[in-house]
Amino acid sequence: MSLINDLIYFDNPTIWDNFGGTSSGYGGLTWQMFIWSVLVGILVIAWLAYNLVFFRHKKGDPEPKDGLKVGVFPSERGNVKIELAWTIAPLILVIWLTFLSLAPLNYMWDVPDVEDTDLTIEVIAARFSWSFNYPSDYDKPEEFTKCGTSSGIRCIEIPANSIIRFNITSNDVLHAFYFPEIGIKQDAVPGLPTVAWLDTSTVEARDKPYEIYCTEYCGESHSEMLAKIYVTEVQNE
Amino acid sequence: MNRVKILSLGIIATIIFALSALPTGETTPNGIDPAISSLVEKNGCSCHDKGGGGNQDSNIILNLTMPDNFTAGETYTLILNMSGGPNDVAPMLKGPNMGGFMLKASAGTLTPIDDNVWKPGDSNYLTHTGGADGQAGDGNNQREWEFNWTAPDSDSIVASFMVYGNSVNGNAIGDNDGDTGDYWNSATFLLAGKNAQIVDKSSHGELSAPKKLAYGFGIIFITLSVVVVGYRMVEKDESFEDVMKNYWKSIYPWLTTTDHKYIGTLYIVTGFLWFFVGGVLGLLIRWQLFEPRVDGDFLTYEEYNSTFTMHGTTMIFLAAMPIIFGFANYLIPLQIGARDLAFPRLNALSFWLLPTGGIVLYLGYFTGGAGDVGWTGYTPYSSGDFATRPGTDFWVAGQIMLGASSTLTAINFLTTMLRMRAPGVALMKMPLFSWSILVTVFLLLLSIPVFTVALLLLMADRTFGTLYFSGPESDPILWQHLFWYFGHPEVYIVILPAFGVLSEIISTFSRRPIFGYTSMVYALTTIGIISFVVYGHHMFTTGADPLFRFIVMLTTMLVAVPTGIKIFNWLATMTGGSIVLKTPMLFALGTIITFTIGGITGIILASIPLDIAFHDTYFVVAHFHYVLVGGTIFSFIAGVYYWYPKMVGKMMDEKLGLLHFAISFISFNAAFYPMHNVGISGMPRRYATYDESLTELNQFITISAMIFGLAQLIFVYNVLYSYKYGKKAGDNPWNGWSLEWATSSPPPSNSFVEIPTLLSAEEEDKKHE
Repeated sequence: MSLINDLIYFDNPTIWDNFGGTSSGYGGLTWQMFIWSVLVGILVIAWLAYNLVFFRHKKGDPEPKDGLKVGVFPSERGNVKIELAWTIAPLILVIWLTFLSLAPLNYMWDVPDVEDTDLTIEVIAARFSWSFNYPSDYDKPEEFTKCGTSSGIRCIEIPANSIIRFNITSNDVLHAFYFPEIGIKQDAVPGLPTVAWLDTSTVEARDKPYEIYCTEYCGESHSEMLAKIYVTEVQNE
Repeated sequence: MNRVKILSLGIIATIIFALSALPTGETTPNGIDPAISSLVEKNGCSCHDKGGGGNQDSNIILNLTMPDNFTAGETYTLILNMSGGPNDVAPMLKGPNMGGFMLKASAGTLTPIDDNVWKPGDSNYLTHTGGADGQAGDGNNQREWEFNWTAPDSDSIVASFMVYGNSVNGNAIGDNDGDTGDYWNSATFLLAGKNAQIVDKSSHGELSAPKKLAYGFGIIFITLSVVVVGYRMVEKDESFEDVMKNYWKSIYPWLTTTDHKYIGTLYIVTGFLWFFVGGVLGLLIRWQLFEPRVDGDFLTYEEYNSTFTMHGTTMIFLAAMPIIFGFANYLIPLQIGARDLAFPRLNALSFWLLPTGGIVLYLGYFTGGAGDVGWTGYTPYSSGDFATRPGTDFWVAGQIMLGASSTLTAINFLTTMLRMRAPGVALMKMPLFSWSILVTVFLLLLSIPVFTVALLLLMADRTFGTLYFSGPESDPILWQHLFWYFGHPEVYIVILPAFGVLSEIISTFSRRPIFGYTSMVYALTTIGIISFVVYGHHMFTTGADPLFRFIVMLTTMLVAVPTGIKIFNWLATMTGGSIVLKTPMLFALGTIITFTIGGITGIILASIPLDIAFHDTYFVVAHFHYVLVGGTIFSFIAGVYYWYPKMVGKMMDEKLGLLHFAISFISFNAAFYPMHNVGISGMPRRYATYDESLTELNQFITISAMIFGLAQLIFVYNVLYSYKYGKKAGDNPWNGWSLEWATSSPPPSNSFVEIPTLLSAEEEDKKHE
């Protein structure tokens, strides 16, 4: 049943296999997060189940020695060693996860210089449309036909195996440029130029477009502020 | 009459006079001067922006020739021309390309009549031809364009035309730097319909749906009251005045009370009433998302936006916080052995600000649309002229009132808990629920005023035309800093008391003292302190400073440590105990599971790379519903089951409680767990429609959410049923230790007949020797 499939599998392969363009796998951030989440979740639920099975009150059980009495502050229970253990273990775990988060971050935030960029695209967000512009000196390859006459408005075609830089601005309110399949998201802020970039060798060149969403609420037709990106194989001249 | 009375009457008279004589709350009818937004919307013709936005030139004059007014459905030919700017004289020296334009109309249909004008694809605007490859026409070599405009079906509106004109020097030929030296300008033209009532356009309109609803309820209410009053007058032979007097007698104590128990009850009941309203709004959202709908299929997009805004605001400020304050009001004086709060009158004021603020928030619905800015109200959307007006003004005003209510409450509790504890109740001997409230009110006191200030600035932007958030020189991100400085402590304000409730219930039903009381207190205060330095994790995608983002990632991760301590301490309390599984305990244990899931996804979202992927998607929606519903609401429902016997003096029905828990727990997880999947697949939050491939999951979520909503009716029934038929509860039905169980159920009107003394375990042992 596909619904059950949908529930079990988190359907976004790039997040798992190739997150942020860095090679991931089981040692990568997404898998590590997932594995530790499941482990901690299972620990809590299993301990809870264990308590419920073995320490249930039965009829005729005597009151525990340190049982509660109204108007009496109960005697302190605790065990410094155990408490320290479950303070330090999570501390190590979150430091490990923070450390892991740095690798894709180094990659994502290290925006390639203009010289290393194959194509810089100006992205202008305005309620409720995206417009994309090639640089004025860019020779559009002949293969770029998928957007047709609407090229630049809610649609752009980019070459495969290149470094693409998106310079993002907004004309009115906040918007966000969201490329779900590769996990790129960058707010478009009026008056504050922002940048996102993409190495198209990490995505598949295909005839089906990649969807772009606006993910910062911008008003009435926010949910229709979509765009398409085609990644096309280009013959080198 | 003494002088004070005369003075206060005078002040009241002055205020009333001032209110009626001065213009009342009229907002700027068209919002902030539209010139500002067109300044911001700088680049209509995207192809000529080489100067990076600095190329607007007011010397370019745009003119749109149009009739004086329009008749519905008629077609008019409009002429747009442009003068000034580079290359004003044709033909130019270097090549063609002397100008271009883009034109949008707010109503009606635009159609080109020659090949100089082009309507791209299915768009709703016109532009010039000659720009795209292989296109016929010579539109970019013109200074004047003609096109047809078909008026809309109604001529009682004003149509506006937004025009961008691009004056071009034509150096594109043989020169790759074709954009240099080009300038543009924009202008807006208004064309009124024949029957447009420009001054007051809404006065003769049809009633809006919420208005109809309110009138409908009003008529039902009046009819019912006539019937009920008439029945009593005829049947019991009472005069009208007598009937009214009797009703008044039963309402009067509730309206005038300053007793913490009455006010607590009022808070709790009000909170759950708003919870019901917010829940209905939530189900409306879910029904809209049952399948990918187009605008107006069920809700229009604007209605949908108002719906999720009011849902969020209601649930946080009108449901969760009042329920928390209700329990705090009722229990804190009992737990610390005080007769009442330090400032009972202030307490009453805090309470009455709450329903008032809520009503002000909801007034937006009667003005054509409630606030539609999201509960976060991000600027410049909320400060500009796009957000509903005056719905959003009401949203801001209501929030300011709620902020005042919370601030006063915070002061009240702080004073009470620091000054009015009974003998033996040292700070480190307070029950953990009291501790959680103490930390919470500190957070309130330090965060709510910041939000109030931000709201006042927003109010000024919206109403008086100031430019804190949306002028050319202002910082659109400023609001997010102010809001989240408050907003993040706010979510801890909502969750910490839930921790307190869980600690009480788990300890009582395990029949043992809580494991690691001291570390629990330290964990609470640590969470409270850290909460002020993590707010930046809401802003990972804004383009804020990388160092700032890295620091808040680290601090956010650290929250997991004290939270983990709390969860492990609860589990350790149960280990070796003697667990009694009654409804409060069931809900508490369910909360541990759901809250753990919510906490884990919180860690995932704290990691910047993953947050960049998941931010503002349904993954986030799943996360905070797991924390707020699965954490706060579940534990306070547990709290109702736990303290209901103390408040009412009767036990709640266990069988109904079990049923309520089972259905709620299963349907809650069924409704919110799949949202993680939907979010990872890329569905953004606040979307009124979505990609068809996600239909199946969304339908599953919607159905589960409906079941979850319906299951709460069992709870309502149980509360009402037990009020009448519940078994009598003793003073201490669950064998708790804290002082609220030392007084009678329900407590006497002065809370304690005699102020109790809290003994320590050693003193108690000595007493018996």
